[in-house]
Amino acid sequence: MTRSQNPSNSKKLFAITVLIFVLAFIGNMSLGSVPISLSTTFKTLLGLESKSETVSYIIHAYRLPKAITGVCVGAGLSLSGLLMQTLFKNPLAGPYVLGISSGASLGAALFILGTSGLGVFSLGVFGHSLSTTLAASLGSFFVLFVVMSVSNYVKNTMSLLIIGLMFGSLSGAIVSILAFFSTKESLQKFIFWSYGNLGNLSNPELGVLGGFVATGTLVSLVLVKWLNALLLGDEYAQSLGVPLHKLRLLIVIATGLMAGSITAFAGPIAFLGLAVPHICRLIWNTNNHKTLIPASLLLGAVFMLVSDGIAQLPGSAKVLPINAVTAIFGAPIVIWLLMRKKQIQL
Amino acid sequence: MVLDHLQIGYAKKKTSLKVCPPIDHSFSVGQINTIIGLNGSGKTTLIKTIGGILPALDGGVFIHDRNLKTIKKEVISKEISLVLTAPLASENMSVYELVSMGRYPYTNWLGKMDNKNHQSICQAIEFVGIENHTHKKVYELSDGQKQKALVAKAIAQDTPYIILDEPTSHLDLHHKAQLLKLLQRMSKQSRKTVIFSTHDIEMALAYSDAILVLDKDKIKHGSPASLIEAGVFDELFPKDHVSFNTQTASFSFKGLNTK
Repeated sequence: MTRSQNPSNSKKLFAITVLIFVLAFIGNMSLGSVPISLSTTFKTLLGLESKSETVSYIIHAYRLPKAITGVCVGAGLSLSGLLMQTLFKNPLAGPYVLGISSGASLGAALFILGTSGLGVFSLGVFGHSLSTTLAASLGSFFVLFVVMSVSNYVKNTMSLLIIGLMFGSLSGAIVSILAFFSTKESLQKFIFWSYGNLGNLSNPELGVLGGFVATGTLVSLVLVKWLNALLLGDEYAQSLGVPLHKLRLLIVIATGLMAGSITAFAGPIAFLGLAVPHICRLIWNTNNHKTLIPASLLLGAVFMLVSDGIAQLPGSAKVLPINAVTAIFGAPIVIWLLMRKKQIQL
Repeated sequence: MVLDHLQIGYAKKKTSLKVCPPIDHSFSVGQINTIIGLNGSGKTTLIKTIGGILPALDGGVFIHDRNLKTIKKEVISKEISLVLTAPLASENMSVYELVSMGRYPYTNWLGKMDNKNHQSICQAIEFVGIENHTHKKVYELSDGQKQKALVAKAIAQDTPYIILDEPTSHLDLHHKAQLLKLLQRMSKQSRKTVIFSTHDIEMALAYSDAILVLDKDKIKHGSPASLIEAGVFDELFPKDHVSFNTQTASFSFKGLNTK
């Protein structure tokens, strides 16, 4: 009796995905208002070619940080989505079910709309973007903190899910009220923030984002065995020795760190976190987290890099909102996979 | 396993919902123990309490003279394995993967399966006789095969106690008998203590060594023969619908078609 049907198939899929990832990473950097060829991008990255100072500067100062941000955002959101789907045993769960993005939106809205409504501050452009990030992080961590304290009181995960949704509705409502009373200019600023944006991250900010995503990934990897046990249900998991409360808290913290920091720095990027874990399940045909965690990280990063590439509208100086691209590009993939495989199983 | 004045039920904030009278009982080691009772008599609650999932309201469950509530979950998972009625949260895994989770208490944090674990998994799958379905997904199995796969998971967990909640409930007569024979074979071969709840009283009488009867007012226990003799089953159901025949150890229905 063998252990699994075809382990070599899974390895092949991983090899292909890694290849696609590398291509997407370099391809993402070659696209933009100034097109740079793939080979030049590759050589500049490796420091082999310094044909022009400008090209080198564009790549190192703008495109590399943005591509790395894309990797962090895509990988982190997909992993968060996977964790939430496993914790809630619900295929519709995503990184934001705990209300984290609503918290971030609330923070950002309070700052952008609230201050304009009151007419207290008028900050410069740079100060504004940094403070928006800060406000959004405060908002998402505030919600995370509340949800975590509540999770100690509620016994089952379904209540936690509903509480998260309620927080979402609540902050949505407050944002609407703020929007109603705010000026046209600040409303526009808020909407731009809510489109999502991978650029504009300074190196220290990128370090913070990378650190949070790495921490979340590390926590998930340590939990891999217990995440698999959760697939049987809470009671079976306990009978296999899973410390359920501890596990739940760790999953919430890992997701909060990743989704919270991502939303704060790059805006509320939707769709990706919900869809990528499903795409991985359909492609690898497994629910084992030992496969799903690396698969979601990789495919999430690819997805984000490609979406961002499309958002650049190659050959033009215009940039589409990334939030629109992820769904336009991703939803058909999910539908196509579903129709081909006929069924989806969590 | 000893139940010492065990009060089962659900704790609320101030009050608690007691399910049945306190239970004093000891399950016979290496034998088939059955728990029977009407719907709502507390069978599942008792199964979950002795399985370490629900806390006892009062009294305690003792294994090796230690109260279950003082033992870490990790340690309990090497003593007690469970087969429950709740559906699996995910059925998108192969039978092999499902059964391999039974080995989790014995593996490192990554859940790495060495050859010894691999062998235990294969043996468990062969023992329940579903080796032809090893690489099928759980959602592709019939109810009977699913139940066997869950029993295989419990066997792979290699615990002295195997506790099952209504393992025969969705099976036809043939598969019921097959499953109970399997449990009997397991308990005889490897001296495992099997505890299961069931509505199939006639089967419980035929296959078990000891029976625990949960009733609203009184808990009774004993061997099948002694319980029949004491007339426990004559009073179990209201007389106007079902009656018990002591000679054949079976129930008969009083419907419109019977004289």
